[in-house]
Amino acid sequence: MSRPIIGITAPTRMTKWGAWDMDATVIPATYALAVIDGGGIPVILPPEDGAIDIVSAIDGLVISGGPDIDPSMYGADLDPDTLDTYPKQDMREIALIKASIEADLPVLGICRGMQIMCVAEGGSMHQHLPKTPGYESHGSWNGAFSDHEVTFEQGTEIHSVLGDCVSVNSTHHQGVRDSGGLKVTGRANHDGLIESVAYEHLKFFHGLQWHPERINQYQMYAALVNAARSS
Amino acid sequence: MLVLIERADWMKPRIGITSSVNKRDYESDGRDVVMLPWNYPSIVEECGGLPLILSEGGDPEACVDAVDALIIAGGRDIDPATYGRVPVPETNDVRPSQDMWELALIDSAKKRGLPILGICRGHQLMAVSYGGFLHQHLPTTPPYEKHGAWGGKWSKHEVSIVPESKLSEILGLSSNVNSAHHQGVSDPGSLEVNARSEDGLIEGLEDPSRKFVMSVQWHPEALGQKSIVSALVRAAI
Repeated sequence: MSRPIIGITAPTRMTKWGAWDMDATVIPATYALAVIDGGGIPVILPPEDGAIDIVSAIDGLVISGGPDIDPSMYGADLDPDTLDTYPKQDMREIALIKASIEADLPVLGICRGMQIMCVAEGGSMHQHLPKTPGYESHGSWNGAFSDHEVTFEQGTEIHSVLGDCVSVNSTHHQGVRDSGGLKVTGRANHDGLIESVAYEHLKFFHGLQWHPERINQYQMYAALVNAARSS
Repeated sequence: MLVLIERADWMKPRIGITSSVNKRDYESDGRDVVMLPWNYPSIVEECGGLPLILSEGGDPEACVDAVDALIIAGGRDIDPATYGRVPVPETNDVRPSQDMWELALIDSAKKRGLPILGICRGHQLMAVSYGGFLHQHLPTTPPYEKHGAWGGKWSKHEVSIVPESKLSEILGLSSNVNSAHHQGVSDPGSLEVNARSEDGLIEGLEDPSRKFVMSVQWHPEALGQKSIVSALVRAAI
């Protein structure tokens, strides 16, 4: 298959555009553009599908960024700084991740997508980095972006794609506390926060805390599409 | 026979639905988002299909390869250049790249014999794809000045359905439909008209030589009119 089909998860939210104001499935166009740039065909996945049906209809999967994960998903109490949560979206994405692992479907998780990969595999979250000792100055959030560097562990798959160290964008107030079963492959230079995770026994299963599609850093998207092509 | 039933049970037909790129205040800034009103995927799922939202720019042949049927969704005005006309002042928010992409999807789907349902803008694009033309602004086009609501508002009206058309097999000879558009089909090209409103406007089109190539000016997904979408999903199996 020359152009693999890459599903991108998307939420449904009340959305205003033009003269309209209604529930819509909506996702930043940068995700679709990154998939196209990598040689794949983007297909947006509305939030009501069955996981098994989806996994059999696509060749690869992007779990996109989005809201905080409900702490009940990782057995923690709700911290007052955790913002709006969508437990149905959490459960649907966890089911998709489990079905993808079962089918060895290539997966790239972005920001919240990486966090929920970890939660699906037994991990947990820092619910608010600005008050978590060691990470108070991690970076921007609430719509703002900051930059920092990430260093990757030698010998990992992501190291072979991105090299020793890259500069990334940062826009999150939660972070992975425990990656569960996943291997930590990269950490922030300035505070050591987990920035990338992987299951290296699978064909392609990577999570990134940053948004490479917003800084035209398409290498990991291209690697996802390549892995999907050989599925 | 048993094999067919089993396949229908756990391989739902994949229904590709086209989306639009719009500006919206999303997360932090007015950047481009890919979006589709939620009632499209929702009604497809209720009718037994697997909704897959196609995003502008995806290679049209590969998009069509990935699905079993196609819905061309509602949305913005079509660039009159696609049917060889100049824009009137009321034609706005055109996006030629989306027109070209969706017209290529329709061509690929036709070539492969895939079922197609056009809705609102999708209905108008089907007419253009088959060589037709559009009225660019009904409120100033006699005798359609009072056709209905537009600009984010809805009205309702009756449509009469042509006897023995494929649409009549689904809906009977009339239907009360919703209306939210300021443009309309003036010439259906080589498609056949299967429905008209009381003012005579073309409300539905079909290609009688195909199993399911159909379009409607109204929004069955907003009306909860499952019969049309179910017919598309059945044709996709």
